[in-house]
Amino acid sequence: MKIKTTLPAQFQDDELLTPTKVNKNFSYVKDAVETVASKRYCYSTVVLPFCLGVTAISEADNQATRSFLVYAPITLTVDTVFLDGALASGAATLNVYNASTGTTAPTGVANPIITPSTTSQTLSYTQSIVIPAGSTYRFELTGTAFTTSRLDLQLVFKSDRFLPASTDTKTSASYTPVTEASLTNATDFNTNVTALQSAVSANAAYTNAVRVEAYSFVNFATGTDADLQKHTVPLSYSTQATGTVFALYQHAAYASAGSVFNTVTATLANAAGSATGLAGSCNMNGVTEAVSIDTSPTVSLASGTSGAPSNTALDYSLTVANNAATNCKRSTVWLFIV
Amino acid sequence: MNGAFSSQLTSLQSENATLPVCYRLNVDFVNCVGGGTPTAAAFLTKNVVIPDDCIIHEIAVCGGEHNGVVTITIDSGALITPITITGTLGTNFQKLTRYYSTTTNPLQMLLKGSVLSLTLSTTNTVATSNVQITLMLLSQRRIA
Repeated sequence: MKIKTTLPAQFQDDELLTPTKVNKNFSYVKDAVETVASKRYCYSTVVLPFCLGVTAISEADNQATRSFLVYAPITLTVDTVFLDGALASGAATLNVYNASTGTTAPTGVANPIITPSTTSQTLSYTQSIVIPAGSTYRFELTGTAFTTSRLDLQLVFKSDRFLPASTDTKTSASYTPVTEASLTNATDFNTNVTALQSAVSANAAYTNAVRVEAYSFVNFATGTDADLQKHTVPLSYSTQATGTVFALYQHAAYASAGSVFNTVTATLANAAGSATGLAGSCNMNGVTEAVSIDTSPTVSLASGTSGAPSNTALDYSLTVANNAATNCKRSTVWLFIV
Repeated sequence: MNGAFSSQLTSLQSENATLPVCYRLNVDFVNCVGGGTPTAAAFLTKNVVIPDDCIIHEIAVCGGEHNGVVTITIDSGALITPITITGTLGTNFQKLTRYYSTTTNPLQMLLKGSVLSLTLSTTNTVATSNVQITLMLLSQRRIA
């Protein structure tokens, strides 16, 4: 029996299957690669998905407002915002503002971006929010009577970056650090943000490959929860995990303002517990919220041995310590790594 | 198949380069109350949306003030074989043995937009304890 078949039109071109055509296709790819390699950098839109730590943003801590600051050393785009959980009671809204203070929404954004309900679900805001390099945006949950709710915030970022050529090297030798500063107000903070951004922009190697990691800490005070002040920074044994920490940004908040004079200090130590020189102190100085940047360290994160998954010595510990008994409600630490 | 949130994530639509990226998701459980009332139990499961096609590369668990056995179950419906990590956390901050995708732990893929659920169970009731879970996910994207 003879079976007659008819190929779709796009497959009827005999040339498609000839070696000549195939070679042409390979040649096209090779040429493109060579063109890229001839340049020092190939500018490309590279998606860098990463997420702010998923943590409950309200767990019976009696706060009507919880805010998370997002600082962008390079232009970042919040691809999607997810809010998972449910209100136990009351009402709340998730808003985004274009600065660490104030209530101005970013251009094109209408607040609230998410309004959670008492039904447990994952809600999303899918309109991209661009955070310009050097600026700080604030995501804030505001509401009433929602103190026993569980609401987990997840921010998915992407970023435009330069792709370094294979011959490019990322060294700290050519990087000029900005003077370390401990800041207590937005004006000082913005000044240092500008300085940090300039330093990043001035060094192509750092601009190329900056990696951002965020860690959240909630509800801790000296003497009561000392062991709750740490968060490991586990490293992969892949090459992606090695690097140098060149900046730390911390945002801390207390339950209330008052006469307390204390600091919230973030430090990074290796597996042996040795301090590595990275420290960012939020000098609270009686204020409810403070931010700090440490741009002077160049902390090397050791690489692992490929195929050595049991080597837990590669873990680093990030510790956020509060030097007063006043309960620090939360602290968010961002590490910028190349 | 990619989950309910795949279309809402735009992260893969504009990329045009090959770049392996190891990114991480941090999930924090605070005030872990074991044994749980209904309210507490509701706090012991968290859901995260996977932002990119990836494989599960490593999972690290640490915590403090717990002094009991903790078990974390990581699942994504029928998309992966559930991963269970269990160990004893003392009163001091410490880490559990890390999970790796090796020959003994099969390589598992997560699809963009799928939801990963992390459920924590404990044998000790310590309201001030915390458990932090870091998921390291490896994404290898292709030239468009």
